[in-house]
This record gives sequence, structure tokens and C-alpha cells, in this order.
Amino acid sequence: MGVVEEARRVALAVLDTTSTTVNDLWVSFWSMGGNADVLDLDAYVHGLAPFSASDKLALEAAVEEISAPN
Amino acid sequence: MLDVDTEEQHENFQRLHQLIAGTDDVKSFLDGMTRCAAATLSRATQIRIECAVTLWRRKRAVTLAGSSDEAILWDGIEQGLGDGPALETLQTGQPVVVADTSADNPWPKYTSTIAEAGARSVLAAPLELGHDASAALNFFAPEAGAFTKDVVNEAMVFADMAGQALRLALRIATADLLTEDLKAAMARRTVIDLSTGIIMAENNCTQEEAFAFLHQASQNRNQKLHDVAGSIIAERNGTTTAPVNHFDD
Repeated sequence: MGVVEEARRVALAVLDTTSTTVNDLWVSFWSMGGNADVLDLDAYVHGLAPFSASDKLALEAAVEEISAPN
Repeated sequence: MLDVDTEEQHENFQRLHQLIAGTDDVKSFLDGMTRCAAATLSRATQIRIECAVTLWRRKRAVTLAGSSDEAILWDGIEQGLGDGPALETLQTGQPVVVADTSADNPWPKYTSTIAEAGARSVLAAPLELGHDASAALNFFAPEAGAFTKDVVNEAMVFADMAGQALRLALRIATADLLTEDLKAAMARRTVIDLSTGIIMAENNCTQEEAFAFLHQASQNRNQKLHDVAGSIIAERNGTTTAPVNHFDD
């Protein structure tokens, strides 16, 4: 499993197990330079839609930030 | 919905809406609301009633507020035990009265504790808040049997108004938080976008390549993405100050 796929999996776990909502995740993803909208992000995280290479990187950074805020 | 038909109810309505405008956070609003509730029922019963409220918000910690420290303490006891009149009123949506805390009732552990502290009767009334939050008002009287049918009705009229006001206060608080989050996100994203632009110009590459380069640099240096991006801008600016953005209210 690549780093990128790992980020998607961690994002899903964060949504399922913590108080983070899809909107929270999106705000963080967007602040990292991601361009997809909330619906696309939601779909990608749940394995239903593709994501651009840049958006995958932005999600990776967002997930890192959410899992280790400091 | 109950009608607002007396002078006093009208005053309460105004007072609650002034509270929304005049308080900075939900906790202050709840404090003012419980004082207003306690005053209303104290007038109705002619004895000193205290009031506390517990607010549960989805994904947010529980907020406690009250007309006095004692009332907050007593309300906290029920939350600690996880069972009592306020929790019951939340489940049923109906007011719950404990006419005498030293007589038989479904919550002997809770009532004996607060009876010792001086609360001889209790009334719990639910606040209607929609599906994202729930709250119940707990009224405490120093005498048994304080909460007659008329007093309970009075409390329900108040709870109905207070529920509407609280719903508005919560919506405003949520919108304020979102605005703060989005403003912070805009400022943070600007740093990423600016540094990506600098990398594009310096390396004659596409935006996607520049973005990947930025991430690679963050990985290699084991620095946060924003720190790497910020240092690229600072280098260009010839300063170590934070990048400037232009998002004002």
C-alpha cells in the first residue's frame, strides 16, 4: 500500500472514529492547497471517485496535520 | 408551541433575545438564561428557585451553566451519575417533577445527595433544540412540593421560548466558528499558492510539478508544508516576517 493510499485510509478512519467531519477535513485539505470540493473529497475518501495527483498530496498533508496537530 | 400571552412572558421573550445579542459565547448566554428562568419561577412560586442547564452538542463537550454555583453543582451530580430527572425529560420530552427529594422516587442516589444540600423538590423541563443538540432545564426549590401544575406550565412556557432563543444562539456560535476556520484556511492556503507560484517561475515548471516539489521538500526536510512554503516566500521577500495576505473582514 502506497503512502497516498495510506493517506486515504487514515482520512477515512479519522472521519469514522473522531469528531472530525467531512467539512473539517475539507477546510484543512483546502488550506493545504487542495482544489477538489467537499463532495469530491468525500467521494474519494470513501473510494468512489478518483483524485488528481495534487489533491492526493494535499490530502496527505491535511491528514498529517489532523493526526499530529503539533 | 405555547402562546406568549402575559406581560411577564413578553418580558422574558425580550430578555432572552437581548441575551443573544449581548453575550459573546454560548456559556454566557446559558448563564443569563438560567438566571432569567430562576427569576421567573421564583416569582411564580414565591420562594427562591435555582436553575441549571446542561447542554449537549454533537461533537462538542457538554456545557453547564446555572443561576448559582450550587445549582451547577447539583446539575453536575446528575450528569456524574448518568441518571436523573433531566436525562429522563430529554428522553420523554415531558417535564419531570420530583415533589419531595427525601421521599421515594426513581433516583434515590441523586435526590438524597441534593436533599442533604438543601434542594427539596426538583423540576426538569426539556428544551427543544433540533437534532444537533439537546438541553434540559433543572429547577431546584428549598421546599417540597414547590412545583405545582401551574408552576410546571409556567416552566414549560419559559422552556419553549428559551429553546428557540438557544437554538438561535447556537446557530450564530456555529457560524462564527466556521467563519474563523475559513479565514484561517484562506490565509494558510495563500502561503501554499504563493510559494507554488514562486517555484513555477524559478523552475519553469507546471503548477502540479511545483506542488509536488513543495511536498517533496517538506518530506525531505521533515518540516511542515506551511513552514517550507513560508520560508520560500520569506526568502524572496528578503525578510523573515510572515507572508502578507489581504483578507480583511
